[in-house]
Amino acid sequence: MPWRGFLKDPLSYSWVPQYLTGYLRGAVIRARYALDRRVEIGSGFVVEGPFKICGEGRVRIGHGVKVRRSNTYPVCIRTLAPDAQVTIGDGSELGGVQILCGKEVILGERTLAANCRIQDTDFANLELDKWPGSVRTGKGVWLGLTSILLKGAEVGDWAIVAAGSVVERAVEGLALAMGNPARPIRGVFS
Amino acid sequence: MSSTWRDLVARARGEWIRWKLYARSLGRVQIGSGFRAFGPVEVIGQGRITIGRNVTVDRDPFGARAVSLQTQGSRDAQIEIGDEVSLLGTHISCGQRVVVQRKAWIEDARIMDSDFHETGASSERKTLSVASAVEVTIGEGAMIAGRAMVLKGAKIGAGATVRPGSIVLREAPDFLTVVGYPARVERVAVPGPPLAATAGEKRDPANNKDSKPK
Repeated sequence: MPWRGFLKDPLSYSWVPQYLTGYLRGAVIRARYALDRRVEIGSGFVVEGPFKICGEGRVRIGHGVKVRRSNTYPVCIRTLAPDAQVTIGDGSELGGVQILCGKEVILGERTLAANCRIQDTDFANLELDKWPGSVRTGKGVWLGLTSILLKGAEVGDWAIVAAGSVVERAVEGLALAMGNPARPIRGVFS
Repeated sequence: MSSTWRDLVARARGEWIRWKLYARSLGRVQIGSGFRAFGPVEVIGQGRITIGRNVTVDRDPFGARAVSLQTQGSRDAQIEIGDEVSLLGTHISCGQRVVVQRKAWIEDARIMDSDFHETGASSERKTLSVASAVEVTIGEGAMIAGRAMVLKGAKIGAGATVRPGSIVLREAPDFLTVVGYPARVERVAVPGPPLAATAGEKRDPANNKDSKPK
């Protein structure tokens, strides 16, 4: 049956139906959370891969957020406490992002993030980490592949976090931060 | 109520996995009683794996990875996991010996006691080799966070904390926190709120007793 082969072989997709199914899945997920007070999802939500929200905290997703497909991780937002709050700004694009929130995670508008992990507690159990902090990123931040934001990370507007780096402090706006732990690299954009 | 139900299911699944692995490996994988499996366990290789009592096994916090215990090279490779350890999506690759002592909490970190390949000509690199393996020990009550790596010869002390994304090459002292690559002791050694929180309190004029109103 040609239809089954079409579903099995991802190469036989042209980009057009995949693009459309992304919008469709986004609309379905948005409709599913429409009655859920904890989760607010803005319009134009696109989901192109596996996506899930778990935990009892609040999750706010802005308008026009796109969840891309990653071959490594599903996109997952997990809150650990009822008063935990995750905010994702308008027009962000997330691929394979894992967010673990015990208190507060704020991603600014137009964030680009790939395979990165954002956690404001060190462990998935709040009994093991007594002081969850907060993670904030500004507008237009680019989080490189497999980078990690730990509690206390504050990334300024239009900053770039290099691939594989671990941020645990403040990074200025319009700067490049790299390394583990991440340090700013000067003179890149000046 | 639901947590009790989940717990019962995990115990039943654990019991099933325990006997299945024991039978399949002809007694080389031994798991103690009270084993709770909230997710699958992958066992690869011919080595010996000993797991203590009341061990909990789960997927990682995001449901992406399952626990994987791999013994490579020969049948002499040995993984020893103590009582009441929690493994959440942990990968352990073992060429010689990996010891996890009791009450440790390990999230989706990787623990490898060998490079598994030799440096040299490309023909040598291609074959698996555990000649460089050095024992890895994880102390009692140690906590290892997600995406961390514990590499050959590393020794993590009792009650030590490894923060997310750090790569431990040598030693993490008892009851201290390590972070970075290579992992070094974090400056805040005294248990208490993180520095940022304390700084905020000091800056807040309402909380600061030293500042006098003019």
